[in-house]
Amino acid sequence: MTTELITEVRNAQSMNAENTQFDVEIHHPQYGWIPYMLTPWDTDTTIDNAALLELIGSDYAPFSQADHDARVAAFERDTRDVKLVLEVDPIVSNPLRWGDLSEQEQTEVSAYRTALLDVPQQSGFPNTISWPTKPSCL
Amino acid sequence: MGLETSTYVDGLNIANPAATDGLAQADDHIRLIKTVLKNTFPNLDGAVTATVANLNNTTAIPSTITDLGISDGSNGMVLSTDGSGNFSFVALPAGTTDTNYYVTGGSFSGTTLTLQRSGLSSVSISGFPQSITDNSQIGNGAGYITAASVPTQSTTTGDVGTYAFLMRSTSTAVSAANPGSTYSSSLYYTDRSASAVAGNVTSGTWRCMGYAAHLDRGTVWLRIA
Repeated sequence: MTTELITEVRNAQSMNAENTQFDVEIHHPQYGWIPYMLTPWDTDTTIDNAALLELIGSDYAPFSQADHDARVAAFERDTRDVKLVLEVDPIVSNPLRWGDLSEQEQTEVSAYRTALLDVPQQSGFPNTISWPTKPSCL
Repeated sequence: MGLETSTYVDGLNIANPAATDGLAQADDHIRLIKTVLKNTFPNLDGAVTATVANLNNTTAIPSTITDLGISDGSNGMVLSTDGSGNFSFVALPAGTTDTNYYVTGGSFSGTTLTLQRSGLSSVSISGFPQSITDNSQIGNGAGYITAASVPTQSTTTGDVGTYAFLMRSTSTAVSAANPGSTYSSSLYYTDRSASAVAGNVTSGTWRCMGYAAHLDRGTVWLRIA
């Protein structure tokens, strides 16, 4: 792939304590000003990330642990929400399917749903989460 | 003092004849003077009217053809003579072609252009790009590139030009991601068991190629940078 030469960056925000990941705007020769996530694990070489780091230099908003935790928490809540929407809601929202479950199975599903809702209340949330086991009937 | 010998004026000795020379030598001196004058100016058969400045070459030297008394013509005219020493500028008749100095043909071979000239030898100019012979050669500003040098599209996950089915975090996805919109942050691969802060976060810039609504944020994205 052809390497794109980036000569301007702006509004850089450090995304980790090591200051190796940045949410930044770059002036792309084809797309103009676009958002860009600079990460140390990027395998693509279309844009020289080392050169971008030099362009950013020390002109960036410092890393915020609170913002970082908020992003992780939002991501994990998303994960919880998807589990509820895809695994639990199709059963508990459908009287016919709910009625097909035994009383034991209904108890397990109810407990699973409650455990998912309580994930954000776990002491290690959002960095350490104990995800509840999905009942076999789901 | 005896009579000196000389062929041209510069050979005359101004000290001769001496006052003590005999009168009988006077005629010899006069003949010598006439002889060197005739030898020095053999073609002067009329009055010489050139001034001292003319003779000393101190007047302006002609720098243009009009200084020679020839009236200038218009752009494109050529200088013509009547064969009697009279010159003038005339226009070539319409349709006239002077083939003596024009290219009469040419050929192109490999990277060399050869031009044939009437009355003169051929000239060759090398260094042209080779002719494009098949569709794998694509023209560009630097000549041409062959199929072997055409860059290939990476198929590595997450590289520019590749597609991915990504999720968007609710921390920023307060509105749906519409087709064509561009994002860089809060995009994750769909393995939701992975960490939100490690390699599960996408790099670069992604364009939404589908539609990602609330809690159904997974859609197809294209990495553009």
